[in-house]
Amino acid sequence: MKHVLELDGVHANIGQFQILQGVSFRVPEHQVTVLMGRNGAGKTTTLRTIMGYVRPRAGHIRMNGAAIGDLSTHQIARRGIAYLPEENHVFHRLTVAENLQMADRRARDGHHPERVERMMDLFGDLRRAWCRPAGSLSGGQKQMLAMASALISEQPVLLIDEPSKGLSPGYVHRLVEILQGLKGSRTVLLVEQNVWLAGQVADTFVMLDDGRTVLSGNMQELLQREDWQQQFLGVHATRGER
Amino acid sequence: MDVFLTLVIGGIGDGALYFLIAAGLTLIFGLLQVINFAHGGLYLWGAYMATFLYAVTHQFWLALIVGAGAGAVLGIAMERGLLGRLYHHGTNQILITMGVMLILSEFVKVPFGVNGLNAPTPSFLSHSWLVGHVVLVEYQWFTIVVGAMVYLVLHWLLRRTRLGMVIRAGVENAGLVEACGIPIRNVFTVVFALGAALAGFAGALAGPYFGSVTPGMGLDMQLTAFIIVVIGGMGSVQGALVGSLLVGVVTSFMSFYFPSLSVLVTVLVMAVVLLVRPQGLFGEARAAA
Ligand SMILES: Nc1ncnc2c1ncn2[C@@H]1O[C@H](COP(=O)(O)OP(=O)(O)OP(=O)(O)O)[C@@H](O)[C@H]1O
Ligand SMILES: [Mg+2]
Repeated sequence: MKHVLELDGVHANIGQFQILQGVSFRVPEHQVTVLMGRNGAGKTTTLRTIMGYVRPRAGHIRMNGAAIGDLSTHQIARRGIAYLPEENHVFHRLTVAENLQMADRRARDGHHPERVERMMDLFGDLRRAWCRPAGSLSGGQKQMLAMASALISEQPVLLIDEPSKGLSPGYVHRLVEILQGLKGSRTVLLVEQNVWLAGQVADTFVMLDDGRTVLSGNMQELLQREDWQQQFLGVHATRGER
Repeated sequence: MDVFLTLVIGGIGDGALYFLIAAGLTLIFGLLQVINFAHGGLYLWGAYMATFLYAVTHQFWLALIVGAGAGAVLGIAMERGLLGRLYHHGTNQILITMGVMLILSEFVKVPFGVNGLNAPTPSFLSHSWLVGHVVLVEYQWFTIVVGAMVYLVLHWLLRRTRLGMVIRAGVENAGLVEACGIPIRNVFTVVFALGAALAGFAGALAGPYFGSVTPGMGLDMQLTAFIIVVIGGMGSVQGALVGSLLVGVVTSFMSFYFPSLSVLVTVLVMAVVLLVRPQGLFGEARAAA
């Protein structure tokens, strides 16, 4: 099996704090890999380090075999990674249309290429809000816009940080459908604390604890091991809490 | 009534000039998060280069272009050479840009002397007309028209072009712009150069406007432009326009009726605006990127 992303003993600091202290895992191509761990385990920091916002202090990050740890964020994005952050994932003062144009690197002002149309079909809400500032959308609509922005450039790799946070059940089901639809064509690294949702979409899991990878394997196995879930996610870290 | 009109027109003329400097300052702050305390130095060098060139060649339009060019060249050198390394280091930036301001103000004395230069108005712009008891000064109106045109061009750039969209996006969330594969550092340089060119251009206009250029003019303008940007809301071009006109007109009246209180009142206006709207008239609370 081909691995698109490989992290090998990654250490990273934020300021003087050592946040990542040995993160190693591999993300197989065209699968959904879920990155789990309790609050503050370092999941967001791991994604931000892959994206080049945080420089790894030690260790290696490779994409398709090539080191990307020294590249800047826009270069990493151009290698084919789309990133959907946990917070502030849309431009609030730009319209929905402008948000999609920003994300679609090949878009030209004025006319809407067929990729934008496809996003509109996928996310019907956005068509009605086309000219509105993204800041005026509901939380769920913003998350859908952010997802559309991440998908529009058809990047082969997607890093998605807790997309279900704060979503109503209806939107969570939309999200599950969308993520399932990506399998087989895109490689997804998903941060998700909702074990049920992770079970619906993920093929493999990686468990972080205190800035280190402590477990990884088949998602079905994690679903059966309640002891692992309790030890690394806490009893309350399941669906409905937070 | 005639005095009133004269003071209003004078205030708008000053405001148009202020706007050219404040617009660049506010754009640079909005995108780069840098308060460029050397902005007045770029204005100063624009003024001297243009005045010198006009004295030698008598080519007014060429002088304007050279003034803007001088600002842009100095600005790019500053951004690439100094600031690039200092993003996210707030206090260092303030000290460095202030240092650059002092250097620019002192070094202008080396070739041009300490006493300043005369800056004559080109003859084709030096008419004036008496309408009732109000004197209409051609160069003042020229400055107002140029200021309005620059505002419209900036508005078009920011609202109607892809670069403008990227700038607006970057003002809000520079990190997310990078995730879109756009090298935000290059956008920073473009915006810094644009702001610097506007400051140099303003300097070139300011020579004939005030009749002379002096080594101290940069620091004066720096202070005024900073107050305007705070009043208007840091990062907002519209705010810079409204703030410039407000400060221009208020100062115009104050320096006629109570000249000694003029600066104090500008600072008071700023204090009142900040009390009512801490983010300035047109500023928006920003999202942490
Ligand atoms: N800017 C920062 N300065 C200092 N510490 C930080 C900063 N950002 C994150 N941290 C710390 O780094 C650790 C990991 O944070 P991170 O956001 O990566 O965790 P996470 O697993 O994504 O958590 P959550 O589930 O709450 O999103 C936490 O202890 C956090 O307090
Ligand atoms: Mg997180």
